[in-house]
Amino acid sequence: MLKPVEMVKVCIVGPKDYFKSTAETLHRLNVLHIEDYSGEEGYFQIGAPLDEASKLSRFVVTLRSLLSYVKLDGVYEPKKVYSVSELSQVAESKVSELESMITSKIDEIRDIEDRLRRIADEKRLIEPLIALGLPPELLSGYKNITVFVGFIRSDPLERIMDVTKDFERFIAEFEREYVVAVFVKNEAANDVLRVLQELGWREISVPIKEGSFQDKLVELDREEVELREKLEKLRAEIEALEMENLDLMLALEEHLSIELEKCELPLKAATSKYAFIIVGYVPKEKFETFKQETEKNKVVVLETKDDVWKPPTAFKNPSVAKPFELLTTSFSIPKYTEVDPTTVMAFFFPIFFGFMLGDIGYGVILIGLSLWLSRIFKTEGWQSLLRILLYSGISTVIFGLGFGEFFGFELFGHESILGGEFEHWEPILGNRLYDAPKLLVVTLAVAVIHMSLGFIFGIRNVAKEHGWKHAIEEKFNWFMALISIAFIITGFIMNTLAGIPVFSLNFAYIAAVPLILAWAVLTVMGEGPMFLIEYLTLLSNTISYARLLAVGLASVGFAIAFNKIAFEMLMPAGIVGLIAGIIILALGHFINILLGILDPGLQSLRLHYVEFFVKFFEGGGIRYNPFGRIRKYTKEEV
Amino acid sequence: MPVEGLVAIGAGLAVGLAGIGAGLGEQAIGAAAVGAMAEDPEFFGKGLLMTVIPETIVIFGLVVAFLLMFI
Repeated sequence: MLKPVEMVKVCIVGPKDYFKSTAETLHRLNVLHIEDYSGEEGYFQIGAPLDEASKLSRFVVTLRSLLSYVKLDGVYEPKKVYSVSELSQVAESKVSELESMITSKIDEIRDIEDRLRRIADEKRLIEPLIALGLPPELLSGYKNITVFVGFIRSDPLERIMDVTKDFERFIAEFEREYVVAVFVKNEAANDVLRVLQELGWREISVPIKEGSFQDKLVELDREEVELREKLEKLRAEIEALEMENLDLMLALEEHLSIELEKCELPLKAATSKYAFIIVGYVPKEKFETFKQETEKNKVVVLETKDDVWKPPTAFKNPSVAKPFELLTTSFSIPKYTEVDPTTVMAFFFPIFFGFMLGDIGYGVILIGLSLWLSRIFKTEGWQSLLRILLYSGISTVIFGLGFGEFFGFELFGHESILGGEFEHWEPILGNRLYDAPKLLVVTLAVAVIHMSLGFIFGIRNVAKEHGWKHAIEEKFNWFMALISIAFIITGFIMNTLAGIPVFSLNFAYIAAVPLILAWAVLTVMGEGPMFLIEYLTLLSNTISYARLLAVGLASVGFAIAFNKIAFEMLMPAGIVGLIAGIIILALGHFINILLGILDPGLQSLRLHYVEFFVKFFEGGGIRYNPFGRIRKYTKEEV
Repeated sequence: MPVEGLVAIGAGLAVGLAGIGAGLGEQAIGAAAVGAMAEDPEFFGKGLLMTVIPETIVIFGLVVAFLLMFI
């Protein structure tokens, strides 16, 4: 539960001739997390991939590029599952067959896309010429006259007049620039060109010599439409073709990828001229079967106990807590030796969430929402997230009962909307608006419990990794500091309740003194005097849990405000008021629910990440990633 | 819950000003954290952690507001 799966380090040694069959077995067993061989020792080298690897990787690349034309969602279920023996016989011919079928169409698509690009270029040239309004015959074909057609930043008329008097210029505005045609005698052409260039001239090469630009544009438009239709058709054809062969293609892709993985296994192994060694980690409970199965390949499997001990982390949590692994890993993967906080998080996260939102109405909506969405979003990440939302929703309903709130209305107490007997009831956990100080104390108590747990884990982690001395000097001292803070807060509350000045001496304050002294001594010894200032951080950590109340009050405040506007101000004002009231009510509660998912979720996460995790969690572990994979589109015969 | 006028204003200022302060603190951290996450999504946990550190100031403001109003 709090610890990851126990691992043993294994070493597989055998002659190279049996490498291939060993790779097969390892892949099928899917339990060995291989530690890459770094190749530093002289005698053993990193192995070279088996001969088939290059051919296989070419096939896999081809198949993946073909598959990229089909849009698949993550949860596609194949209609037919191919067997491996069936596939390995036809793999080669099938891949080339599929390739030749589809490649010709892909080439055609590429040609069309080329042509479309050229049409777009041509259209970009013709549009300014249409704006200029000169027919194409006039723009070329002179013997003694040079024609400049192009874009320019400003009207060149006066500048050209400085150079020559014999010219003609036509100009029109086009997209924040001017398009201009200048006719000059050949002798003056060079001077005029220079002038034009100074004004940022860009030439347009006139695409046609005769006819009309408008006609050409219409023609191009028509061609474009035709080509686009053709393109759509081709794409649809490819998709249809691939859908027909989809199961086969997916199966081939899976089969060939697996074969490729096996062929590339030598890259992770240490090899000499005749032997190979693979080092990795296997869960302890599976070691015996792993050994038996693997040794059938005439290789030796040993449990090793060498100095390099960096086992991967495989989560071991009850299925209820599984979804919360998502939240743990998005912080960091716990090291093998560390406490895995997932289960603790699975307990506290929904409680924090429920405490903050705490409303029967919103809770029911959250439950419904998570159940509905979990039918739509099937990927693993979404399922985990929605499962967390479901737990949080249930917790929200329970706390809602405790606070007696339903969409911001009070169920129990003297303002009960149910009236009658319920007006004499009191909500079990108190009313959040009127009992805020009481609940504030509750949140501080939660803070002390939650962080104590963090420190206990911290003591255990440090003790395991660096010994008890460090654990006492680095973690246990802070645990005492936390308890002293708890005493100080208690003293504060006691004095307040008794109505005497808050800092007058009482037994709680006195109890805190020896704790603070012990903490100070240990901290100075272990971490140095600079760390004494961190006492304030711990204090602010504790007060930080007041957000459990704060966020809740905000959501109650919203709900009450909307209800008041709708029921007391708008609805009594006749039919228009009634409609406006209903709209305000729906909109307001919708916004509140949206905030009610986001804010308590984030704040609850923050309390775990910032206040809880930093007390013990270092992270930086390696995720357990065994060699092998779960087949989906193919099956192996036994 | 009878609260004198000035006390209410004081409580409001405590929360409001603390909120502005935290917001100013968080803007730079948030931008940097989003940048880091765009580079490498693994930073999500640490990014969130860094971003919300100034937030505690608002809670201080809130606690002060409570002390003003209820005690």
